[in-house]
Amino acid sequence: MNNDNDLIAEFIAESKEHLAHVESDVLKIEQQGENVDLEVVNHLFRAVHTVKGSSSFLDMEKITELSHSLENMISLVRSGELILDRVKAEAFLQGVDKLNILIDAIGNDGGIDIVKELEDLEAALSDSGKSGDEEGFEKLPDFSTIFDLSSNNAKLADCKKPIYAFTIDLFAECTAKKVLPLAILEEITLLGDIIASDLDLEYIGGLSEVKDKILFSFLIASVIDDMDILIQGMQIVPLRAEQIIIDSRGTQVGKKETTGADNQKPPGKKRKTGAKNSRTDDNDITTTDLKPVAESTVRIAVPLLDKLMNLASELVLVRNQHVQALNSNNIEHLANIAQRLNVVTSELQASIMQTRMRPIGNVFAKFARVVRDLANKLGKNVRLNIVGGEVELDKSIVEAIGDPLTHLVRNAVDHGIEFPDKRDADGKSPEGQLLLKAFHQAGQVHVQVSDDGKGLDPDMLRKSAVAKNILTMEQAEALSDEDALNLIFIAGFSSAEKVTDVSGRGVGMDVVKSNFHKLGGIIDVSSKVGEGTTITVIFPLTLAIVPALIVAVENFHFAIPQSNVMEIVWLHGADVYQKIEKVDEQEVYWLRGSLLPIMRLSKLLNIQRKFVDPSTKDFVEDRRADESDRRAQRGDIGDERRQGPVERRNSVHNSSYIVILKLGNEQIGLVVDLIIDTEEIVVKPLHAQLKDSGAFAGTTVMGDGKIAMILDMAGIARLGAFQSLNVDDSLTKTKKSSIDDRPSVLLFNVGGAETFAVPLGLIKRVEKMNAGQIQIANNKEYINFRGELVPLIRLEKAVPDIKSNYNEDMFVIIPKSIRPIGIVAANVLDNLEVDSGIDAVTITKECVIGSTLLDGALTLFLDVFAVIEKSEPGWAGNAIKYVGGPKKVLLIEDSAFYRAFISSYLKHAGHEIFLAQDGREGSEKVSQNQFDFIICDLEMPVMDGYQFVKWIKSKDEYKNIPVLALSGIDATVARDRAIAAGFDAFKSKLDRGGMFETLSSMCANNHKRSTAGGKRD
Amino acid sequence: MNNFVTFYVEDRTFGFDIMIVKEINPNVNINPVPLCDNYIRGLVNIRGQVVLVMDIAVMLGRGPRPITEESQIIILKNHREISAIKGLDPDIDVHAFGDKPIGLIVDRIGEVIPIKRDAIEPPPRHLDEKNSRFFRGVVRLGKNLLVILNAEAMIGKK
Repeated sequence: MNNDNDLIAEFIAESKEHLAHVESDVLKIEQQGENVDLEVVNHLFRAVHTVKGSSSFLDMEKITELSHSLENMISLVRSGELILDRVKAEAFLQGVDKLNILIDAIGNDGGIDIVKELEDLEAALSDSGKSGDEEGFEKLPDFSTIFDLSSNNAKLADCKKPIYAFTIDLFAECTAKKVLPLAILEEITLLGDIIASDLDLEYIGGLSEVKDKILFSFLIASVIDDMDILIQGMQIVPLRAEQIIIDSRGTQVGKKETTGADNQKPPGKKRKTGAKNSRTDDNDITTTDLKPVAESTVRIAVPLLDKLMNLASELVLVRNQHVQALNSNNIEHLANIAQRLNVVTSELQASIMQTRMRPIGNVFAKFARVVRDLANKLGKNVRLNIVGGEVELDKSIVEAIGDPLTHLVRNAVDHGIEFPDKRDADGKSPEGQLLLKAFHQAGQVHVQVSDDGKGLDPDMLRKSAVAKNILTMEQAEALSDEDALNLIFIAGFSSAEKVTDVSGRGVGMDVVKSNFHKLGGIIDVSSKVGEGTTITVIFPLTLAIVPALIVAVENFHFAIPQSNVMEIVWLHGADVYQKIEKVDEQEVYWLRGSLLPIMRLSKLLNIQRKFVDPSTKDFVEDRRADESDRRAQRGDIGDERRQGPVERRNSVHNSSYIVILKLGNEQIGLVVDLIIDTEEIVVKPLHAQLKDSGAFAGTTVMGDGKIAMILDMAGIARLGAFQSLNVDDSLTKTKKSSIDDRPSVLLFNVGGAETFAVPLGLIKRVEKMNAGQIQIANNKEYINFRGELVPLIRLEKAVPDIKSNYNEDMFVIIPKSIRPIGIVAANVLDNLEVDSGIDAVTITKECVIGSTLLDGALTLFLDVFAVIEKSEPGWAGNAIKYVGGPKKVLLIEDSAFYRAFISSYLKHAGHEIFLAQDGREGSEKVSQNQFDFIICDLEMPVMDGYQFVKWIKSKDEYKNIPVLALSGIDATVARDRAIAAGFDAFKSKLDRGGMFETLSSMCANNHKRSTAGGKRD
Repeated sequence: MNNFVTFYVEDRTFGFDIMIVKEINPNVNINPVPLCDNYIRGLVNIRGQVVLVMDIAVMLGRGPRPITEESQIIILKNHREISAIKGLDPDIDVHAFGDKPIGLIVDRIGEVIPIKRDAIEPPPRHLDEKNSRFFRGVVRLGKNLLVILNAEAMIGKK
């Protein structure tokens, strides 16, 4: 029973496959009229014949009966006795439809009536005065109807021996020799290999009625090159014999194959479809043997399947070798095996990918019937032409393309192509032309549906859009003709004058567009009134096409998948060196107040930097690690100093870009020289030799022919992490909040109970060091840091009442100061955002601004400058004295932390400090006191810094008071805006030295200004 | 008689069995690749195919060769193409060839020379194993020696 079910399932699949092509064959024969192409007829005959044969074997009476009727008709067509006109073709197709229904309902076909179809077929036959049953037994089928000689070509061509076809009467042979049929076959196979054979079951009949003739046909390849000798040798009496000449066909196949559209296919490997491609385009569709039976199954060309099988067995072989090598501990051999595994796997992968590719002809084929039926129904005359059915697309696209394409085809027939009389009147041929075309262009597949109908009238479309309230009159008139055509893709837009049952199905072009869009296709329409309409859909060839950002470092180009790119920051001129700061070995960038770890692509990929030598104009390699080092060598607190010698050598690019990448939940900044473009790139697999670094995901050929490496984002992150292994991860964590409100601080201790905090913005870098590296000179400690002696400060000496306990391994924190100086730390604990303000009252100590609770632990905020002043007087810059004596200073700042921080060092310098939390409070204080200068934050609640400075500069009595803008962001934009608003100067909150310098110069200027003003008065 | 493509690297003559050579291309617009082994020169775009270019001189322990007017890239067949060859020299290990195109940059291309298989001597034993693993054999050509290279060893991964 099971066996039977298997057979039935096999029968259904096979029959469906055969019947799938019947429609287009019939339509072709109908078109050809008298000049019928025998090959098409034979193809059709074989299909129906097979269905009949198999069904009779399985006792499916109705199917057998119906297919027998159909077969009769075709055999008459083949013999030229019948011409398949429209009526007969209709009858035939209806018969085929019923056959399909019967096959679908196998085992449950009781209610299906085939009488009408049989009558119609009979009528069609009698019409021509013939009956298929008149065909006598004596009439022998042509070999080409039994054997698919063309599609067997590859097999035939391969065997390189003469091939013969024979038909013998097995019954007669057996009777004459008094042997069993098997003996006859044995006799035959002695002289050659049977390539194919066919036992005509029709002539056998049931067991009850044994006929006296059993026709057996076979194809044999034999070394004997004389047919007569062969026949004698086989001791048979053939009813029909023929030598099959395969040479010409063979070369024909080869020739055609090399001109095939798909040059990816290996030359020399003959695929079944390759052989089919050698026929004309029309035939191609009808003979395509890859049509999926159902969506859930895939049919694969046998040679491809063979290849997969081979690869699978090779894989097994490699596995066995691997096991063996492992058992014998043969390490050397393992490398070989691994390599082999690699080859097999990638081949396997490629082949499996290939199984996903389907010729679009599978979809096109069904339109023959659609167009014919539709045209008949509407009373139009339409001829469908199909070009490029062999173009292959991803299976998912081919399967889903059918519905939207049907809509386009229906539209073209219904709305596009005019009625014959209208066409006649317009001087066109009454027969409308509909072209379905697929072709490759620029790595994409274009699918076109074009008709030579009336075309789309942009004016009509405009009017229609206005009438439907989609556009206003003005908007409509402003549209170019091209844009007007695209109106058809807008929801709720239908240009048909009358809704027919053909296309009035409620599915508009908008749905078609979105359907194509889902498949990654782009739709476009072009049309000319009176000449026709062409709708083009462009698909990616594979789904391995991604949009990417192309960047450059030196002369290397790289592609970064767009999905990873968040934004791009441009650093220009001096910013390149100034905006990127260092914490420990890690570079960071303040992006809108959050700390962004920076990686330089040049560094990650070890690309030599090149600079133009000003004397020779040659490119020279730069040996310094990066731009930050350059800055570090000079020391850099005074802004003006940076403007000094700056960069004696000119960088090739005096700007750089930070590409902000999203890697999982992290953001990192990748510094590159240039942003080239965004491009849709075709991902090409990477050579094994280039995979080691892990930095690349593939390669791509760009528009200009250059090759760009596609960066593997995960690999880049790994490379970055590798470089900073010795860095506490927490230092590079991305911080989300704004510096203005919650500055990040570095927490460390000196081995005692106290935890110290220093704002990250004050720190240039944190270095690991070893106690042994400390050198003592003049009773002071130094460390040799990149060739420079850096004095070390022990906090226990500067801050009273603290205990220290250092290990061998310790850290040195280097604050930003004019000359490098290091604060020794026993442990670097963490970096944190400070939510709370500083309590400057509870703990008052020298060199400590105040205290706060961070993560539940008491933390002392270190006054870094006081520490430096105390340990190395004058080291942090002797700016304080320039201010010229104690001043009354108003500090307007909303952040409690900065209020405490800034006021602490202003107090330290001996100034009298007044505090305000926002601009409004500040303005109140201004009217109560006479200030020497005002320091004001920019971003504040209630009244911000810009508003405040506008207010104060508008008051004659206060406008001479210098106002310094303070910002957490040291950005040019902010600076320009602040100066424009009326601030006298702009400084970063954490730049203490800069602030004092600015204050002193401001005071000096103010003094001059007021004396000048005094003289005028 | 097999045909061999001969070529010059640092004035030494080398040869490949012509059956494994797909084409010889003068396009030496090589795009270097960061972080790769020093014998890899980079990638070159040949009709849309990305070809990996290796430097034979570096593989043989010499410095990278300068690119001149005469420099050419010998592009080898891939695994699929090699497997399809009938009557390939049985010494050639088909499986060493990968599926992606690989080329070798040479200073200059010489002639195609037919050589009898038995005229090829095995490489002398006293050669440095590091370099001689790339030698398949040696043929005397008049006054000169032609070294037949073992392409599989060169393009196989290390």
